This record gives sequence, C-alpha cells and structure tokens, in this order.
Amino acid sequence: MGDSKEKRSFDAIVIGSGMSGGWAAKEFCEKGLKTLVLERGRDVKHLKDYPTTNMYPWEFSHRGQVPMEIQKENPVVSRCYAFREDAMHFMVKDTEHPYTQEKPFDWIRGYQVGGKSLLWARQTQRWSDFDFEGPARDGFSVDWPIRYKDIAPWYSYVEKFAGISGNKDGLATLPDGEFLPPLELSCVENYFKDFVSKNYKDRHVIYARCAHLTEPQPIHLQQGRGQCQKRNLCQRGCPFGGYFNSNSSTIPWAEKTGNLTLRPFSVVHSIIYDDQKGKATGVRVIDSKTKEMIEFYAPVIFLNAAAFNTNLILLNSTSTRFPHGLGNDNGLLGKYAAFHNYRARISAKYDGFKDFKTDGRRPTSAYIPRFRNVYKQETDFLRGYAAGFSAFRTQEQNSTDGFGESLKENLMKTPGLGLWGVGSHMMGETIPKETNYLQLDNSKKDEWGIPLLKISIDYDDNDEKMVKDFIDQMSEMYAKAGFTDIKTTDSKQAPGLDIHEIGGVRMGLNPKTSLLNKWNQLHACNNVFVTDGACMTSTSTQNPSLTYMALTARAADYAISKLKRNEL
Amino acid sequence: MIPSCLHEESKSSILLKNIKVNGDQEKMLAELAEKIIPKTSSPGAKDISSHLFILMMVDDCYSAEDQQKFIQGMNQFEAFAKKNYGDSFLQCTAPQKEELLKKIESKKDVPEEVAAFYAITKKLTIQSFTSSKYFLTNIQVYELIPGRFHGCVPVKNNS
Repeated sequence: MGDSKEKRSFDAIVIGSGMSGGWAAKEFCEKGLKTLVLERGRDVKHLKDYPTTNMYPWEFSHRGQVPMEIQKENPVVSRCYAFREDAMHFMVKDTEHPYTQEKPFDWIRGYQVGGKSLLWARQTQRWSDFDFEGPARDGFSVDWPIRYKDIAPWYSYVEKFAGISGNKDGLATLPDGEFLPPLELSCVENYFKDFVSKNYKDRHVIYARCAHLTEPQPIHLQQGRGQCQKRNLCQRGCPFGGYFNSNSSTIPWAEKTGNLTLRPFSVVHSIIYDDQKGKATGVRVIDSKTKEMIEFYAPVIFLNAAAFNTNLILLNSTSTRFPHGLGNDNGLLGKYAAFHNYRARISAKYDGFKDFKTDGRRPTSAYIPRFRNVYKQETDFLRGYAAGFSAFRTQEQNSTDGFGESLKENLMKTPGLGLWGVGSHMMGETIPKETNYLQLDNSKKDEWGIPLLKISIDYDDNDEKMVKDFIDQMSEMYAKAGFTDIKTTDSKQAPGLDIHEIGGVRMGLNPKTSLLNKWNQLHACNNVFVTDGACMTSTSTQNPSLTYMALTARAADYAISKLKRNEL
Repeated sequence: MIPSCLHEESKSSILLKNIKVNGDQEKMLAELAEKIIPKTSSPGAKDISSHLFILMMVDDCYSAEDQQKFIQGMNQFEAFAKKNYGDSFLQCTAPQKEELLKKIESKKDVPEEVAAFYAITKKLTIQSFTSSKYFLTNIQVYELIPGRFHGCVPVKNNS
C-alpha cells in the first residue's frame, strides 16, 4: 500500500450505504465529520446508473421475464417478486455470495451503493408503544430500552427529509407523522374503510404512508428530487427522485458537504479491536477487485451492513478480548434473529361501483394496522399482524380464440371492465427466539476469505396460528363487506422472502441479555454502533426501514455529541 | 436447382443456445406466426419479427422439457402438413394452411405434439404482438409517466 495510515484515518466510518448507512453518512458529514462509507458492491449514481429506468415494455428482450438459466442457477433470489428483467441488476445472485441454510431461508440482498433502498416497497408506518412495549407485556425477547417518546422526534426528523405521504388518521396504534398529502384511495377501498370502521371496534383501514414526494417541499428540491409521477417503476431507480432512496437523497447530500469518502468494492472483513485501548480502532476491508486487505481507522464506527451481514461482520470480528465476536460477552450475538410472516394472502371480487374505475397508477396501497391483541391478549397466539389492502377494477381478457384476422381484431379491442378485485397480504409479527440464530460456517469461506453465514431460522406454532387467524379474520371481514369469490392462500414460503430479516444484535437495558444499549452502542465496545435491522429487539408488524432511519439519526446525533466531549 | 446436399443446412438467423432450428424451420415459423396474426391495415407477425421473439423466448425462458416439446412438435407439425396435403407447410396453398390451422384449433384428431407446438407458438405470437411497440403506442397506449392517480372516476361508455 502506497498510502499512509493518516490517509486511511477518518472521523467516522460507516459500513454500508443502504437505508440506514446513508442516514449515518448524511448526519456525520453534515456535522463536519470526515466520513468514510464502505460499500461492498459497485457505485450506483442517481440517474446515471439506472439503466432500465426509462425503458418501455417492448424494450425488454424477454418482456420482463428472467431467463431460465439464471433462475436455475439462482433459485433463492428468483423467488423474489422484484427479481425481474428490469431490476435484477440491483439484486445479489445466489452464486455471488453463498450462505449456508441450516433451515430454508431466502436471503434477499442488494450489494451496491444504496443497497436495498433502491428496491424497497417504500412503506413507512411508525411504531407506537403498543409495539415497543410488546416484549415486556407479553414476556418474550427482552424489554426495549426505548419508548415511543424517545424516537418520536427522530421519526419527524427523518420523515421531513425523506418525504412521507400520509394521512393524519389519529390512531393510537399507528402514530401520525410529518406528512405530505396522501394519494387517493379507490372507491372500493373507501367503501371498505367505512365498512370496517362502522362494523368493527378498533379496526381501521387507512391510506398506507409511503416515502413518495406527492408535494415536494424546499428540502426535497434542494436534494434535486421532484414530484412522484406515479410510474410504479420504482425498483428501477426513479429519474424524478420521486421516492426516497440513499442514492437520490442521503448519499448525494453527504457528498455535497465535501466530507464524504465513498469507497465501493469494499467488503468489510472485520472490525479492529484494540485490547489495550479497550475499543474499536477501525475496520479491515477486502478490496473486492484486488483482494487486498486494507485497514481504515476512525474513533467511531457505525455498522449498517444490512441486518444479517452486520451479524456476520461482528461474528467475524474476533480478538483476545472478544474470541466469539465483537461485543459478544453473553454469547447472544446472532441469536434471536427474526423476520416478518408474509405467508398468507386473500383476494376477492366486489360486485359494485360498476360505473367507476381508477385512472393512472399509484405506488402505494391501503393499510390495516394491527388489531389483534393490541389492548389485551385475546387469542391463543401472541401479537398480531398488519395487512395491506388494495382494490382495483379488473380488466376482462380479450378473446384469444381462433387465428388470423378475427383473432387480431379481438386482440385490438379495448378490453371490457370486470368486477373490482380486492386483495390483502399479511405482515405478521414473529417472536424472536434463541433457537433462531446466525452463526459462522467455519467450514466454508467466500471468495474474500470470510466464513459463510449459517442461517437457522424457522416458523413456530405462534406463526402457524397467526396465519390461520389472518385467513379467518380477513375472510370474515371480506364476506361481511359483501366481497365474493374469496380466495385465500398460504404460500408456505421460507422465512426471508419478506426481506424484513431482523435482530441478532438486539438492544436492551441489561448487558447480560442484550448486545446494544438504548443508543445502539455495543454494551462492551461503546464506539461501535449498530443501527440497521440487526439492532431490533422485536419485529412488530410495520415495514421496518423508517424505524432504522430514525434510530440511525438518533444514534448519530448521540455519537457526535459524545465525540465532541471525547467520551467515546 | 442446386441439390440440397451440396450446401450446408441453413442456420437460424439468431444465435440459439439450447434449441436447434434451421433456416427453413425459421421461415416456416414466421409463416405460421403470420397466419396467426396477419398483416392487415396494421402490422402482422412478420413485420414485428414474432418468429424471432418466439425462438428467443423458447430458447431462453422455457424448461428443457418444454423446449423438447416445441422442437418435436415443430417436426410433427411439418409431418402433419405433409400427411394432409403432401407438402411442407410453407409450400401449402393459402386455403390449405387455413384449413390446417382450423383443424389444429378444433383439437380433433390432432397429434398431441402438434397441439403443444401450436399452443406455444400461438401464445408467444400473441405476446409479441400485444407487447410490441406498435400495439403499446397505437392500440393500448402504455404510459411510461402517468403523472396522476384518481381513485374513483366514472366509466365513460365507449371509452
């Protein structure tokens, strides 16, 4: 290496450039810290590196379909709904970074600047104390070391910058936030919303809050982002910056300060722990192009590698002081990993509003916040589920009978309108358990010389009961609302396909039973912060990204104040 | 006429990795697709190269088993034309081609392989047409940038 140690020293190192890493980068750079962001994949520049974003359907050679050979070689990622011809370049192929499945787990990853923030479903519902108090009330995991009041101002902080479209619904279960105007619900969604509120106590159908600029504010225009154009092609990267991702928002914002050093192709091997100093001093990186190991140094390290890779890095960060992984004094690192239960779906038809349809496209849906076991335990399973809800007019298929001119004429007819189609999917809370864990598979190494991650995660009886309850309750609500042709499915999909993997480095009050404190610092190594999904003590039901963003901004603010007082 | 044994069997005009199709088969496929969606006042299958789309899709996106079905069915289809009219499909007269397709559509006394080949070809011909630039800019206009969402608008008659 020709460069000096000094050149490889920064004020802060952020591992990962996705949803939460982007926020850490922004916060540090804005406050004047020279910040190194390490990204294991390639750079993806907003606008420039969205190769498919303006393509028409006919410009995709297989019209969106993924060729069979790629599917066969990559069965895991091929099961993901977003792995299509228009966005597959933003997703990790199974062959690129293998892992060991002790039990089936579909690990969906995005290795590039921006990570999975390029691909997320953009749903941004806040947690409430019904969520934070869950473990303590129901006796699982450990008590969260924070409550809603601790994170509420940080929700507001990130919402204002990211741009969240929502409706002030005034629900205790799903606190309101800093909202840009909502988009419309469809006629049948509004009908169901009214029906449910009239017929069920404490059940609600609302407009799903989402990270779309429905009415950009000056802070969004300053980011170079504009109004959402309702393309619904978000997974390709948005030429308008209409939805929030790191690439269009936090990363360029950090870059503008002149304090950011973004280093793609940097696979983090481990965090360097100095036994004498009693703290972490830097990070060992494998340059994925040269395979060379390089060390970088900083007084504070934020770990935002995406939940399970964050676990992998900590497990692989061994030292005399921490032979079982950094911060792992209690042997709980990698344990209590969890996910969201997305197995069940329901669909139906509604024979009404026949004189109406929708027009244009909408990048979000309606949402049913958790209504089970909210105020008290009322079922034979713990916790509950939220649900998506959407209703659109279906189209009749033109006849494909025969051949020749008659067939062609049929195909060219304007298709007739069918009934309204309605549908929901479950987003179930799962209970973190010691038996759901992550470990190093020391028998196998990846091409960078790092042990593979072994994943051992499964559903349990609570999840099975919850699937059944979702199907029962939603079927009843649909039937009562007059929906017909009700169909339910349990996909039995492996955990992981929800892409909400969570935990392994949980927060808690007690260093004996948790790894992180209420500021997301490792109890045993307080200049290392974990603020991605790995830090989660429980899963609740909400899409988690908004909470990671808020936790990250909050922890970064705390880290900066500590650094200034030389207390890290 | 140069005897066919003097020159190599012609090749397909696109590179195929998994299935083997010669130039004559490709021509036959183009003609069949054109019979399914003919040129009228608007483009037909040949104009939008449906046959090449079919070959690429079968080659890239179909299982080995379905590829086999397609290729075997294609040979059976030719044999079926020969059996019925004593000629290859390309050399059949227009009314004969018409009659042959009607027979296949009727599904009566049609070998299974022929029916399977025809079904794949027809499905992909329709897909190539309804996802073509012509179709999505003239017939059912695809909006890349709708810029709007309205949740409840009246259905106009004859829209």
